[in-house]
Amino acid sequence: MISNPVLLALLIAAAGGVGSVIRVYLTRWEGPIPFGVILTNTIAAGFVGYIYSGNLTQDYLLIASVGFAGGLSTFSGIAKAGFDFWHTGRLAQIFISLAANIVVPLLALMLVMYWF
Amino acid sequence: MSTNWRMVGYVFVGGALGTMLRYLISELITLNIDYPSGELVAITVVNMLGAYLLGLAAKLPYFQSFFCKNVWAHGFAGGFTTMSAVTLFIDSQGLSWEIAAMMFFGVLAYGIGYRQGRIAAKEAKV
Repeated sequence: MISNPVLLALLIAAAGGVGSVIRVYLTRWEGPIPFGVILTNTIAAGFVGYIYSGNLTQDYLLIASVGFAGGLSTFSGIAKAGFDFWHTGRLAQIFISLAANIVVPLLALMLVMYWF
Repeated sequence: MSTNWRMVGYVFVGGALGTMLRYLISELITLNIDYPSGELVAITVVNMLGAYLLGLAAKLPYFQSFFCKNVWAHGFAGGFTTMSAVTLFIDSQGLSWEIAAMMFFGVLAYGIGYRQGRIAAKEAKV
């Protein structure tokens, strides 16, 4: 239990910083659809599923889910990929990209929660 | 692959700031609006703002330096927005039209930021 709210916020921030650094390296994987963005969001969702299946205290759950998984996952990266596809007239890839970023991480979360 | 430690440091600082601000905004909203509406509002607010900021950072001259790009675009905008919370929300509440709309409005928010940044960049050149 972390009693100091400032310390909790700083630990969440530090976890988010670590997640962000990992995200920047993983999102370099591009292709017909943004595979790197989907991969980071899937890993983050799987991680959230794993920690929610465990018995962490509320504070450590916040650090791991809001901090690390929140910093690792990205919505702005999805928006960027969607806009880049729209900009180049590849409309089908917008829908595939948006749908994949919902479906694949959701499947990962559900599978991890099922197994652990 | 060589590691650019300066970039890692900048992204860490930006990501940490973005994550902390997202946490504080979410706490503030969920204190005033009950779950699940509060959670949905909090996720939508941070994601729209983050997508807009990343769009702005794509073209606005201020964000073109190595420092600003890594701190504010790669670090802050990425850390401020979240998809894991969206996935967790869908898992507990089901996929709703609000979530589907958020995905498309995120693209729109990025586009608005991108366009404003491009206009500002053109004006700066004149």
